[in-house]
Amino acid sequence: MRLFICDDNEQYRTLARMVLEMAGHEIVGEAGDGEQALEQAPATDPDVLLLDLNMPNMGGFEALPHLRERLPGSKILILTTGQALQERQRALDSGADGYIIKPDRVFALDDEIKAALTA
Amino acid sequence: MRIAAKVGRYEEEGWRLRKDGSRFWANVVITALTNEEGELVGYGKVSRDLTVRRLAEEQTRAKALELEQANRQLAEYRRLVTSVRDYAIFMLDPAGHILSWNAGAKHLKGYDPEEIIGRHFSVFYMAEDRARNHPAYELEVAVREGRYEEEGWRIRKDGTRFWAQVTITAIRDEEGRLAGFAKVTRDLSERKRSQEALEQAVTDLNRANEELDRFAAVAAHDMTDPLRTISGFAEFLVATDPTKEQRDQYAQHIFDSSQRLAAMLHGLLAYARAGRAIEATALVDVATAVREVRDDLAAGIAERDAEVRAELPADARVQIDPNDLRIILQNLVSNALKFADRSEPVITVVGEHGDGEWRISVCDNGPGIPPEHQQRIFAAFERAPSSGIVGYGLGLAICQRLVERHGGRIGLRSSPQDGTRFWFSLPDRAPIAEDHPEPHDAPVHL
Repeated sequence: MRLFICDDNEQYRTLARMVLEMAGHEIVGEAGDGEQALEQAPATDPDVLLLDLNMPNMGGFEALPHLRERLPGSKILILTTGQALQERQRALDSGADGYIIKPDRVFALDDEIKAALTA
Repeated sequence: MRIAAKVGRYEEEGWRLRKDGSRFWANVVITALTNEEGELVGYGKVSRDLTVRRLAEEQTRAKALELEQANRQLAEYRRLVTSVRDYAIFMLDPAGHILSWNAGAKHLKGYDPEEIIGRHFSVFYMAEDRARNHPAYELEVAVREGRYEEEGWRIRKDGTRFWAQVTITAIRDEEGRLAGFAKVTRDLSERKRSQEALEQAVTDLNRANEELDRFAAVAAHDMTDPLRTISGFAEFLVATDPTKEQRDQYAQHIFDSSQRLAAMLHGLLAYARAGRAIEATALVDVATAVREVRDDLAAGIAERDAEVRAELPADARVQIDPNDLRIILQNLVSNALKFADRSEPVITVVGEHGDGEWRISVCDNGPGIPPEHQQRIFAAFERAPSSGIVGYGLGLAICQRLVERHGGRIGLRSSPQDGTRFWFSLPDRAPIAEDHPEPHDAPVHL
């Protein structure tokens, strides 16, 4: 799979990249907030865009409808620490294809992504 | 008749019987009649009916007795009213001038009778109540409805205020004409104080709960972030076979995240401490505090090559715990370091005096904070929105807590032209106790 990672925590992006590359995926791009993702992601045309919700400047909820519009062929998966049920529903209603809570063990991330895509 | 014979005349009053058996009150005079030789020849008797007079006299006596009793009662009441200490009880004339003054009134309001009798009762009211003509309104209601009742602030002779329960009753004579007013005042300051303390406690608790909620949200979010990084790289160290270079890199990430976590924990501790009771306050020289903070932050100031100027009047001193002032200035100056102009950062600390307080401002020459962020910037755990700036959203919340617990206020003014100015105000002297010197337990003379 070709993945794009949008998360304001640079170290988490590094970890996710390491885990996903180890699992055989290709990371086509990274962004630190929604605005950067809107600028960079469309050109990379990823299979999956991992989107954090709580970010400075432009958060995930703000970026989601625009990303949905500009990435018609990509799956958008929310990847966040939030646990609120209404947040999950809101994300799905705003055009997300899945909602993943960051796993406590980063090695589980690939399985979480696969599960979210087949759900 | 024997007496008449002896002294020539006898007079008495007493009940006599008529032929029909009814009684009447009679005046009887019996006169001894003698001949020329002085020998007794008979008696002359004149009886007069005095029933009407007798009745009138009895009524008069009864009335006098009644009056005497009423007088006694009145004297007792007066003694009672005069000696009551817990209630101010006094009379007003129809225009509101004080006619009488009891011990309670002296005790409560501090005036001796001779200095207050004759003055208008509006002297007991706060200036704003007088300005809106409230005393006259109270009398108006009492005239219209017979009485007026309220609770409100009143002023003692020494200028201190107390929370009073007041009842004004209109007094009318037998013809219904207004003779004046009876005013009874009780000091409810103690009750008011405990009520206010209770309300304050509820407010504080609610606020603490809201903060706790926010804290839980942040702990879930921001603090699990570095933890996840730490465990993630540790997992890579254990589960993969990293090169020496990778190992160093992972260890560095673990170290950075643990530092970040530690900084957040320190911030939280400082924030929790800022909510505790004040320990000791003093008049603290602001310029000295700024010098100390400049030393504390020397590394950061040198790194940004920033200029930190103190332009404070020599007498700028505020009433605060010296440590708290240092923490406030540290936070504001290090914030200003982050927000000041990139190439030539200048931070100026200024002070203005007015209305019993000093307003200290920490100004930067940066691009300003957008108005939509200015509102929430003091809330705990709000992070500065501009990317690239490290902050954990606690610094300003700590400042606000510290300033407010010393009776001050904090705020900001910001514009793209003039940069950002964070200001806080603090009292220029120790607070004066508001209460009456000895509201209770004055000796009672019996």
